[in-house]
Amino acid sequence: MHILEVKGLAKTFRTSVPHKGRFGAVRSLLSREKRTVQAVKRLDFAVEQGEFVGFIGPNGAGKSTTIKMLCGILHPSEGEVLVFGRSPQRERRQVARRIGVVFGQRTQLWWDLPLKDSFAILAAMFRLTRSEKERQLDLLNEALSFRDFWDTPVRKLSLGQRMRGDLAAALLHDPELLVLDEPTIGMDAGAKRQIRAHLKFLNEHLGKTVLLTTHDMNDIEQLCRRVIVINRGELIFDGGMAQLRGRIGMPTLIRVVYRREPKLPDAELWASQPRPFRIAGRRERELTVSCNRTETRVLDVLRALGEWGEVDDVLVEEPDFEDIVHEIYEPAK
Amino acid sequence: MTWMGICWLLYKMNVKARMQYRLNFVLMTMLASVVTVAEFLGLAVVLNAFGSIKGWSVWEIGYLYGVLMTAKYVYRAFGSAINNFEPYLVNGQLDQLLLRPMPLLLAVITSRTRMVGGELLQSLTVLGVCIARLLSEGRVTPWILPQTLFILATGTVIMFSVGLATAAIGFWITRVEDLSVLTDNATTTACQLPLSLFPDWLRTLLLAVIPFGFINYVPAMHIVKGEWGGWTLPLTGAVAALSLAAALWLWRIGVTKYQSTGT
Amino acid sequence: MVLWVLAKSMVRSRLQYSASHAVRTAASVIFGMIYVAIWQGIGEQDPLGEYGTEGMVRYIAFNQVILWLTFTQYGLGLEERVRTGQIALDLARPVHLFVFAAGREAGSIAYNAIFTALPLFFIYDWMFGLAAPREPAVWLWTAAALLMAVYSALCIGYGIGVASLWTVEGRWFHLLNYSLNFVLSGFLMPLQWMPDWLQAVARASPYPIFHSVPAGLYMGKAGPDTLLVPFLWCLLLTAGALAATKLVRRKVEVQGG
Repeated sequence: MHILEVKGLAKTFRTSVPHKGRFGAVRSLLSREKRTVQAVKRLDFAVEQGEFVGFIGPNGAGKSTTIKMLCGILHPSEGEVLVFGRSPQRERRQVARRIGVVFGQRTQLWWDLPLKDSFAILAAMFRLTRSEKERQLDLLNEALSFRDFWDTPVRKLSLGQRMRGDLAAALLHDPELLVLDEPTIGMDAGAKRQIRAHLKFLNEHLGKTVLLTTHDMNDIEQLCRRVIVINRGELIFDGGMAQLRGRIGMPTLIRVVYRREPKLPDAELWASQPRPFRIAGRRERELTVSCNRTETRVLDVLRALGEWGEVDDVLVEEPDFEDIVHEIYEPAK
Repeated sequence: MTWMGICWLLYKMNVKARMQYRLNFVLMTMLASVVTVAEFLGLAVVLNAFGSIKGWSVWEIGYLYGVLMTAKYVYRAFGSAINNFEPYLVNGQLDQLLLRPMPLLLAVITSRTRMVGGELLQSLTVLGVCIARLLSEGRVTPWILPQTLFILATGTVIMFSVGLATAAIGFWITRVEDLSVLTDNATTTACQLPLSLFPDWLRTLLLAVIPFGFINYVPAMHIVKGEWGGWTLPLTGAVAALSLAAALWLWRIGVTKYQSTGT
Repeated sequence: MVLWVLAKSMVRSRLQYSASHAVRTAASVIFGMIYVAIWQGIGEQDPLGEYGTEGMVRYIAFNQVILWLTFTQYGLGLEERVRTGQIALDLARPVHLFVFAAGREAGSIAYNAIFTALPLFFIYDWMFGLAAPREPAVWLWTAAALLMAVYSALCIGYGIGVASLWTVEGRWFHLLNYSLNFVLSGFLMPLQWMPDWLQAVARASPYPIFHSVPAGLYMGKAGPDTLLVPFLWCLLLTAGALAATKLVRRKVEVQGG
């Protein structure tokens, strides 16, 4: 049984739009146009136990909507979603007991009370015995170290501390699936690194399945073995990181510095035939070329470049992950 | 822990959260009673100047007022989140409540507690004084006490049901704060007075559509005025049960329409 | 001018809510009918002095209409601006905080005046007859009274907003003000019929300007001498608003991380 299964999922919203134009404001008083927005058009995917899946897409792509349907917050317009084989819409409470959810922009903790009170309440809600609760807290504290601010009211915590608290709260009832919506948003680099380490621990050592949405590509690169790309409510890519790079075939950049001015072939002659690599730029003794690593070996390129002069220094650059992803969202013409 | 235990725990936590602002807590409970006293004063001043309205004496109207307001404050005590439901819809607070392993309505109700001590004291005082006066005038029997307790219960249920229905409508139109001015404030103000004062259409509205008339007026016509028979009480109970069922049904459908906010 | 721009932006933002507007107008009519019913009921057994039943009905109707002119949001929205930290930006502006807050609110009041009070005036006139006065002098004094009422409401609202910076739930001051207004402004009943002690308290307070004074002027039952005390209150409230702003600058309590 899949941990999570999404079949033909779609969600349409109806919003009202105010009239435009000269008397638009007054006309809006009397009637408003209805507009339908297809936030999610059709999604199909499944997640197995132990996976760490990254869920990315530009703003408005439908990521949050999908997450909310997984949790039972929203009801799909079409299709279905199954978590542990159950529908979060029909069996919301049972599903809630087996998943842990963290929204980066909103906390689930009780704002005015000390952190420990939030855990007391959650433990009561999830019917944990005192010993179960203590055992779980000790375990989580190893990874998240929240006992340091155990007595502090949540409203006084820093963003990083609050997120650790939220993660612990989401895991208190020991769910198998952890769903995170932008957990590192607004954090400084140090805090982000810490959270990533915690998540890695939770996935690799405690065996939690994690579904993560984020805008930070570093999160994806460092944590996820699988990436799902969504744009305009449709699934554009679903696969591993290597696949992702390969699919775009974005060029690797090779920068060579010659000892003396190189002797380059005639530009027109060069461009007239298909070549294994392309000349991207030239500045004095520095030459930049681009090639597709899936087709051409770097060594072959260097050998060819060596024929134009004596190579002094070489630099090989992989395309930025962010650029790869943007290529997927909006392929350059 | 049982459901009751969890609710009690949440209630305690809500109170504790409010008490974090200590000075404010005391000031709040004090000011609450002042506010409601002033509200009652407005009406009392008018009544005091003129003695009676359309055959209803000051004490009888005071009884209507006492029952209505007591039901209102008991409803506010546990149903405050339902009465101010719009923020939950607009700010997406409902999302985190939907993640809890408890029925949504219960989660909403326990998410907010309002201190009604001062206000309840005031309404009960008015009620008590009026009942005492009516008893001393020999116009009612001691049966008034259990009967009043009964209609306080049904009255609270009716108020809660109307409030719940109004909140549920929010799943469709979101902006329900203004609607609740109609279904809660206007109706409450109207029912402070005997419905016989109002034109037919308003009376029908308050009996058949938003049954606030059954909180105090209909039962009081039997209990206090003795003009209507004993059928009023079971009818009141039936109306309360029906309203609750209808409101819960509307709520259940509304939840499936929830749109949430955010990207 | 700054005030105009602020007011305009407020009007534009208010125009977005059509259904809620209709609902609130309907609620207002119902409230009016409730209070009118009280007086019609009382009128069956009492001649009701200089007003008479007809006059009392008009008194109530008129008060329901002008109520919308003095309706201000809690603390002029200052508490929310403190909570979000926006207040820091507001205080840095070249416009005085009071002018800024009052200007915005004035836009809201203008909206209410045109889209709620005016339609209500016609509705009530159709239902009960509001007998518009003939002499231009009466219109003049009534207008003056209403202007003072609006101004007083803005000052008081501002004061409540400032007070909300010291306590977290200043909403109670708002409700307290509402209650005092309800009892002392003559909303339900002309001040003359109140017990003497209460009348004295009311006349000394700033509240009669909201209902008793303009209604009395409009219906020709009172003269412009009733504007004297309210005018003094306007001066006093202005001084209060200016002093309060100084306090705001010195202390801002910020909530949240």
